[in-house]
Amino acid sequence: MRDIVRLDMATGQVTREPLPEKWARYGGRALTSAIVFSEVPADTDPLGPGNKLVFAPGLLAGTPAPNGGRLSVGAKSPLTGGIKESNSGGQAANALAKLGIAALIVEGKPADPGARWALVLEADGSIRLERADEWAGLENYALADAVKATRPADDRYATITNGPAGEMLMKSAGIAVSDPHGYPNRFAGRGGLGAVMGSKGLKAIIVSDKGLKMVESADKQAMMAAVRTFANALTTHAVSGTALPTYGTNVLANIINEAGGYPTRNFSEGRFEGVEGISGETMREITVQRGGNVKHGCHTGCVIQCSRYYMDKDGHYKTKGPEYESVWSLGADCGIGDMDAVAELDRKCGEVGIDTIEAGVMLGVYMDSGEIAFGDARAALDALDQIGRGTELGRILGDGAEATGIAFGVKNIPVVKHQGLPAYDPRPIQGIGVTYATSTMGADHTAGYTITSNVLAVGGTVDPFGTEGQAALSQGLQIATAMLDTLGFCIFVAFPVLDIPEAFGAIPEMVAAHTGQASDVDALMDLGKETLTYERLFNERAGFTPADDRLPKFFYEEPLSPHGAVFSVSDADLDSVHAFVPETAQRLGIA
Amino acid sequence: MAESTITLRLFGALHALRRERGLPTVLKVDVPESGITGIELAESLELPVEQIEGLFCNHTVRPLRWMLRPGDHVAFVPLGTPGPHRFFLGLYGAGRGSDVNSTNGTS
Repeated sequence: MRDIVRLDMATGQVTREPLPEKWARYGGRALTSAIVFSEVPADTDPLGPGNKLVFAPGLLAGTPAPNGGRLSVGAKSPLTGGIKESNSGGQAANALAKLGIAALIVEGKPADPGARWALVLEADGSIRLERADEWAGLENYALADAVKATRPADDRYATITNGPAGEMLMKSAGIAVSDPHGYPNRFAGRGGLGAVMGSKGLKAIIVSDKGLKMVESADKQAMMAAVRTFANALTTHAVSGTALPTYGTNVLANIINEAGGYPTRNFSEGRFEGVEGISGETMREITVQRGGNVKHGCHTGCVIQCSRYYMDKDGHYKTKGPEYESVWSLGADCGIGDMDAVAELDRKCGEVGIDTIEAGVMLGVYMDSGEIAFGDARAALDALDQIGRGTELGRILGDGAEATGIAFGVKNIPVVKHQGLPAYDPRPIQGIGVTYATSTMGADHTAGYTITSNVLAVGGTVDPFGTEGQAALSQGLQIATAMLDTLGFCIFVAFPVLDIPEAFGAIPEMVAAHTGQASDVDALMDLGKETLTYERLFNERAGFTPADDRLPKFFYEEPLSPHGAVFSVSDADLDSVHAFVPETAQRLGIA
Repeated sequence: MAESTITLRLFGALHALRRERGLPTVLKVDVPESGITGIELAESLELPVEQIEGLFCNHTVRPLRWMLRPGDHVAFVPLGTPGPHRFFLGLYGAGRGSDVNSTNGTS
């Protein structure tokens, strides 16, 4: 039995109710999006009492499913104005699932906007809301220490915390989730959900799972058999078994740079001359030299283990090994080629509680304005510090790339649906441009990350510069990604799934064994389609039109070196990506 | 005098191999005027061909049988490229020898 827990911030009341049967197949992103679609008026103020902040572990969280412990966080986004699901690793999803919680919904708004609150979920099932005014303004790492001081020494718990940027309702604010060592370094970063949490006066959620067993599956034997197959595939595949554990996601830096798709200095060039200094290969060498941990999971049950800790020159923990997107945004997009400088900026984002992608894109735009120079890491750090202190400038910068570009008169502002573009220029990699343009989330690289071609029969490999097949490929990728987000899988499971047929077969086997309901590939893809349908319809009701499914003009008009490419996928192709939505809406009865 | 070399970069696990051998970040490799395929180049440098999924030639992904000519900028990419970019860039097809990245005079 899985439940929904509701916290009404207007009254402080906590209630628990069974998950409705209509959502029994849902977890993670499908559940957050279904709840937001059903319960949040699309025209509501994202920072008002009508918005709801939903935390949902994936369907398989808390089970032995390898890499199945991701957390979805959903709401109406103050950054995009549309629906948002922001996905995080860390320990919270498994802990919530073990408590039998399918979704935690935070609704309403406290009468006193100056009050701070902490929600504590104990392993015995009790839940309480506590005043936490003394935590006001704390940065995430200090907050993690403050929480630790309140817990028994032998406790095992996860934290979900909000930094000062979220408290100040800034649109680039993210929500931090603790990793297995208690560091608040995993993030539901995108879309300004920290501001939604801040609007509700919620500074921290603490979830204890001390002594709790894993979530039981309907057919334990079948579950374990599928788990073994899946784990074997994950640990033996070249990507998930070797490359990611060795170099982390930043192994992409050299590759995307070589392809001429590594956005440099606010998307003005496709190659960064300083890439060697911030590449995954260099990052590994520095980390190893300084005694940093170069291989661990971001949550219990991860067998890929692509997380790492970046150490300072004295060998002390500085921040998590920055992911590819963070290194790019705070590095190449700002013209910064020094790994220690990037790590410093990454730590500052983590402390203040802002999305590293939005922060880096914002800094690139700010540098493009001439207010500070490209490559000036010290000035970039000061800008992030101003966000944390809430200065007049910081409040502009903290609202993200678009707000900064408008305030400082920058011509090229790389955003879609008001959200900054991630680390792949869509001109030489047209396919990612389709996903950026059409994603329900705004520009989002993870929206279309995963399984393709021989699994979904949607076209296979495409010419990166061509337009043919790109829309179909992106559609398949977006559906499959929504499915994985729903089950709670890390999107990196996609690689062995693509190459090892048994690995893909193991996913419906795990779902069937866990839920006791038959499952197959089509049923799983329906989950992805349904998720996207809730999201698409919410966005339509919020006022989005096909015009919002376009890239900024400069991507169509300004050729990018070294290929001289422009984005050229037609509007008709872009509009075809969500062609399945009306039929799916009909089937769901929400047309 | 006509150029007789290509520049070569090695990524991922191949980068580690380069460091082990004490080679610079960017290698200059002499090639015949008539060219050399990616596989032949890898073999001549005693690189583990079975670990290479594709190559970049002048910033475009090509299969390993692509003919490389003097003046080309080349990079070898090992198996293990994460993300959809393995598909968007064509590495997946390159590694499987599909015909999506047409060859340039080789079979």
